[in-house]
Amino acid sequence: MKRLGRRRFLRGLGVGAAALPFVRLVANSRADQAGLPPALRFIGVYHPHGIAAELFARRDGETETEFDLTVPDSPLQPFDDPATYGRSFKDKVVVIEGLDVLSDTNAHNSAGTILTGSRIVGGDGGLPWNSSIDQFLAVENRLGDATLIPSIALAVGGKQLSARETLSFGQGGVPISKIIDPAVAFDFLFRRAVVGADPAAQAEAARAQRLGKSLIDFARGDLQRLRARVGPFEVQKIDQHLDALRALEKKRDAVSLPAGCTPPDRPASFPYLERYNGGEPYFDAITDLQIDLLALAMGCDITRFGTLVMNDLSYAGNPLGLPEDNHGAMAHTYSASALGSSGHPVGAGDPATWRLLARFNRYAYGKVARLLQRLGEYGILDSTLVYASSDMGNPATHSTRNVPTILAGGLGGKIRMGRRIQFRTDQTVPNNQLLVSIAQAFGVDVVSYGVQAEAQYSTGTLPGL
Amino acid sequence: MEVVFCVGALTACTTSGGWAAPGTGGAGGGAGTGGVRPPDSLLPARVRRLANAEYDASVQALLSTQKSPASAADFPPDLRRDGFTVNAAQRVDAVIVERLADAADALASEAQANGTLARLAPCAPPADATSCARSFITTFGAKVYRRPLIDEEVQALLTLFAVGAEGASYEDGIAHVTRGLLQSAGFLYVTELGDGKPRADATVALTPYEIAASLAYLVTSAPPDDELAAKAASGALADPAERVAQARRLFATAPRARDTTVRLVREWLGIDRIDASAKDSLVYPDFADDKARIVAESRDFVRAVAFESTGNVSELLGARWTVSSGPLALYRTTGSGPTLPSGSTVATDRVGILNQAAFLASYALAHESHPIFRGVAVAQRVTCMGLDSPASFNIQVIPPAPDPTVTTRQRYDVHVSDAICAGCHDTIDPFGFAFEHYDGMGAYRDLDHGQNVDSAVDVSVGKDFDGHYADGNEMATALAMSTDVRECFARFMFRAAAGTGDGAATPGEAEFIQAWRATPAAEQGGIVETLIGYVKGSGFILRGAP
Repeated sequence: MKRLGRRRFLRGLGVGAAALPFVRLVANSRADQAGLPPALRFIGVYHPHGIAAELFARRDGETETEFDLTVPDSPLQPFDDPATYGRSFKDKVVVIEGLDVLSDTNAHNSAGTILTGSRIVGGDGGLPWNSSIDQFLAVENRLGDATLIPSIALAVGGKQLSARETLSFGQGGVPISKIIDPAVAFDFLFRRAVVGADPAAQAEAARAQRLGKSLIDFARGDLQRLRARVGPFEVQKIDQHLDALRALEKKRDAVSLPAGCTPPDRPASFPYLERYNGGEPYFDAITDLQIDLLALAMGCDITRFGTLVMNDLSYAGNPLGLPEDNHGAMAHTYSASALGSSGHPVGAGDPATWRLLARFNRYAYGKVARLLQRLGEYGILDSTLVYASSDMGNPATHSTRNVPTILAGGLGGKIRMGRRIQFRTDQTVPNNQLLVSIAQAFGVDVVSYGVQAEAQYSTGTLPGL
Repeated sequence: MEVVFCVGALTACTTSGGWAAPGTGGAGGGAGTGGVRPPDSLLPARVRRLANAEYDASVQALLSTQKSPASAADFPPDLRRDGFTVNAAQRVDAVIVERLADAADALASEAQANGTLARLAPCAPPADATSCARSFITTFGAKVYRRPLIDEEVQALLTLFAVGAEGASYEDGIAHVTRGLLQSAGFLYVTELGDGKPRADATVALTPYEIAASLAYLVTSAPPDDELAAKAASGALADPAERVAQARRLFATAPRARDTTVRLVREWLGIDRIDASAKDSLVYPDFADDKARIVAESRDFVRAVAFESTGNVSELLGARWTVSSGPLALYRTTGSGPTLPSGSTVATDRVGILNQAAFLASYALAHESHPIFRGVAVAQRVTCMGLDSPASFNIQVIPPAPDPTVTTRQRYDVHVSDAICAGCHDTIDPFGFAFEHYDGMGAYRDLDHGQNVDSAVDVSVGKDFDGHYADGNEMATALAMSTDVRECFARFMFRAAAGTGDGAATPGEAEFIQAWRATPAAEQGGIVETLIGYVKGSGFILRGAP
């Protein structure tokens, strides 16, 4: 693994937190002008390695609405840290304890369950049975049609389409490709032909437009000829391809970005992007860029549905001072108390390991806070629901119980924010019910979400939300 | 919900029904015609998107390019089913469609610039540009589509030519047609649809061109070459003997056939995962330096066994030699192995591919060995034990806590003391514990956490390889001799070739295995012969009507 100091590579790249320009608020202004209710947006975020439950939990004496996020060692500090994130988000988050992500037996595939609510069978190669909530809303219920791009799936360090590192799944549980390169994400979201004012450039641009349109028309015609020959199962495949072509066409037709939306410069390339392939020292900078691009795309109303799969900082000399092997030396060595292991008798636990993991949790929630800060700057914080979670609760035991759950932002008042909700950790409270609640808040009338072996686990809304 | 204190807890070792592989559109035939259902043993009529390796091999074969666009860092990886990259679940989504468009643009521009298109689409007076373009479309288009084009397709491509050539050159028009062809459904999807006219028994026969394409992609990952295309045109491929002859010809002569076979074997054992894996450098400081040789062995050894030695899965599992490109620093070498056409080999203390570092490191954690991963891999993919997914049992598992004072094996031994866990781990664990002399990167060790390693196991699963084994070498030797293992290998080659994505046996697989059992024992373990067996059968050319 490459060993690079953080400062050195950041200098080399010329990227920093403040490198991206701001935009005027455009996302809500159109709705305001038209007298429509503000559009709702959804962002799903995955962070690895579970949670230091002992330090995450509501403390004695605190209530649903009276609590302190600034206590020492709390993973939740970034949500009440105006000095770093411009404002406190204490009144913009719902912190949920005791939720279960019913994925598979050892939680390896839980990332794939967070937004699908689906059991995942088949071990390493297993996939969920149904689409994730972002795709369900954006594609199947066509809520993404209102914008240039129906949805986007971003990730840091891992592009493999396995359930263990994927949040977004299309119909039938087929993974949606993730973009791990901020430059590619930029192109996907913001790339437009830059056309000069002189007649020759105008003519060249018009020709390029004709050429591009002819290719899409041809590809569509060819797909439709094939579609007429296939059976009902295969139609889903062809239709997804047709949807993709339509999305590409829409982007090419839109010669300019929405008014008031100024894209940043195209991010610089990173020498390495992938986990286990030298990418780790760049993950922090990549994460920031992905967050800023995602927030900007929402602010520009280019898309309303996005997901982000975060990664860890497994490299020597990481800025958090964590062990080089986050997975082995931080997550797998976590020594929980009874609280952190959902009541199972394991002894008093080792607080030093809690503080170590909490440091990483705080880093991950700091990224969520950064996202909230950006959304706030674009004036869409109250109309964007951010759902951040991990694949496990106690990482040493790979427990799918008591999985950390943060809802942040808002849904135009449909969820009361600024609360801490606790469910009993000795009872099964599947996150499927949260997904049902989210779908309903977006106006999609479902009573259950996700394929579980027993209907009781996938049915009903989350009580108390 | 039940809570169980073990890893990968299982209460029974039978495969449940009820859960079909997602994304594959279901198994078995469709509804058929007039209420008649096609035989369950047939795959459904379907289309499948080219896997990334197939896309790259195809554009290289068609355009003589060195580019591998689908292997580029920004190209989304294959969606795998049951470990295999070739499957019917692959899709084109909003990201992939852009990468395909970019790749088509880059490939066509390169072919225009380097003279490839001038060679493929010559046009000299007195021929007019449109008739030259028509000639290019019908000849090159047929190679891309792997069949003759219908009029509608020719017209659509001529429209592309006209748009591309308007205000520009003939060559620009040809390049534009090429851009279109490389993004077309006709290129991107291998079809198994037949001629659209189901027969009375609700089956459809693949067209001769579909047979040729299926055969070419199975053996070489690329479109049919000229000879195979000619056999398709003459209708000869309905004859199993002709299909077998063509498959043998390609295996013997096409370089891509070797790469393809290596890919299938690597995906079968899951050892291709080594390509994108890493280890904790504090625990395994040598791994980063050794990795290239571990990866090289995982390809070169398979290639050597399949094409330069016996070609038999028994040797793959039981060889007492490895290739000289392997991670020899990790092994105890004991002189020279057999001399092969590609060079000399090395005799080692590691018996077969399961005791090589790629398998051992792929099925391990970043910082320690993982006997359960190894055991499940052997149980499922080498012996075809029908392990059910733990998730199906709706139980919650709490793995054993880390404990530096005991060996990894002692830590996982909790399984046998818990009745629920033992139900299945009695089967899994011995397969994995046998390899405990190898650490998480596949290096030999006598001690684990300061304690003596115990790799002795009793395998007792009612198969012909049951027995007491001192270690992974002894066990591998027994597996290499096993008829049950050879049959399991045949099952996985069927799954790879059929691209179903089903991890469980299907009626089509049962029919294939029935035919396989009737082949001479000497052929049964043949890696290439097993694939040829699939090409020979009627299941290769018939589908259930949609």
